[in-house]
Amino acid sequence: MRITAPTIGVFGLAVGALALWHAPPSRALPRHIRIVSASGRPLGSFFDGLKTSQKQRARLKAMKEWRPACIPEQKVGYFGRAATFLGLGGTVHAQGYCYSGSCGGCYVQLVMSYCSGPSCSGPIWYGSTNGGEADQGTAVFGSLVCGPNPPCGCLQGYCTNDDCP
Amino acid sequence: MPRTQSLSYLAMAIAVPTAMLGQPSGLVASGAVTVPFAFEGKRPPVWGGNAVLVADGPLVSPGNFMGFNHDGRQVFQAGFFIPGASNTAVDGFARGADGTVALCGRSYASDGRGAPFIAWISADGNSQQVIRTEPYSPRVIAVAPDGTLWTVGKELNSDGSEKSGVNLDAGVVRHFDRTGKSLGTFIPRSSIQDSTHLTNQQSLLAAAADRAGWLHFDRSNRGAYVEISSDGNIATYPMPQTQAKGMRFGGIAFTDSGDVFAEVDNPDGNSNFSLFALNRSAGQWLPVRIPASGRWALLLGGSGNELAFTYGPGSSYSTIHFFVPDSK
Repeated sequence: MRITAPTIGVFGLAVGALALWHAPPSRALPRHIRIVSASGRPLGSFFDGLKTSQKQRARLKAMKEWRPACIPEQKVGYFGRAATFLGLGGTVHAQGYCYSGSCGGCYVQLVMSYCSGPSCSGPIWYGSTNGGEADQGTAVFGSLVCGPNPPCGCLQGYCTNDDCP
Repeated sequence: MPRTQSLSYLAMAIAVPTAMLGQPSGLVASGAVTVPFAFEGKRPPVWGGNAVLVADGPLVSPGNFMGFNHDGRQVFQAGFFIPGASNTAVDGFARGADGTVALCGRSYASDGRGAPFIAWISADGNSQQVIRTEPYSPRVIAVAPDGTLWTVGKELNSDGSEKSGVNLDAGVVRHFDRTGKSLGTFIPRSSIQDSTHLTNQQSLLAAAADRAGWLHFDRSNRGAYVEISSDGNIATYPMPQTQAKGMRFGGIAFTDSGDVFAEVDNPDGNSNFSLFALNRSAGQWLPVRIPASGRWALLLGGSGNELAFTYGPGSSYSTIHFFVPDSK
């Protein structure tokens, strides 16, 4: 096939249309942003007067969001990997049965999300490491979430990790 | 025992025989709406001010908020943005009666500077105010009908730790006006033994015209429900009681009449979720019938006399179901 200028033009338009189709919804940013201190004093920037912290900088650089997908029975897939990542290896049985592990991770932050995946329904807690509080870890509770058939994973919960630096 | 707390227990004891008067015992369906948003893998929405508030973007740091009314029509859209931030975690968000959106979380610059905040976005999405709250780090937020903000959190030092440099007698529940001025701090941190009770996972907060309600609990179902009135009185109640162990709470909400409801999932995964209403004079939560079934539910909030839920399986996450107390 010969590539002509009109062909390139049509191809370009198609790619552009596809890009727009997949573009995330635009964020309407507020026109007026006012930032104040705890005492109500107006601040030029949110970060005015705060100290630079190499420790925080390193921690934030290492921040990772983990989002285990719903897992069918007999597979531990993403959840198992997330558990391993958090130092909670071996917390899920093959039949989708949970048992409590020890408290692992530091600076863990959890947020609730709706489960996604086939035959899966319900809320589950996902989160990040290095985004939360210093001695906040996570442990696996003894219950399934999103229903037992098939299970989506186990209930992750906060715990206090005294081993955090 | 604090004086206000002992008085509340005394009031309960006296009033138990007449406890059932005016207690909602059931709900009836009042409608449903399917909003044009795919919630799979997203944060659950909240309901307030007759609209559902949706958070879009990364799970931990959503930066786009949308509101849909009772008819599914979009009534709000705004980005949330802190200039100069490289990372902004949003722990909690809520919508007030006038459409104002409130948020709480922590924001950091790339050089490691950071602080916790509360923020609000005006109902038209055009104005945003961010109030730095260090050393207090709020994790859960609710908006009262008068626009004031209630939060649950704790003081943390600049390393995000309680190990040094924080006041353990500082209040964990705080009440702010719209400018960020403190209207009250309640319940000293030192009175809460397990710090996980102060997380966004183990704290549920709702606000009514004259009070805030805070349900805090741990994975062994230990905890309490506390009501803090605007004038500072504190009443403590036991948690909703079920036979199940390891139950999961899926939300608390007030109706305008002042009734407060709590949703509980039964963790065996087979039985229906449960709904309870607090009988203040009896000092206990009583079961409430709801014509809906599912292994799980989330109580997204209350507005007027109406409560909003999602539940499943069998119903789309995008479908919000409404119920009102049965007047029969």
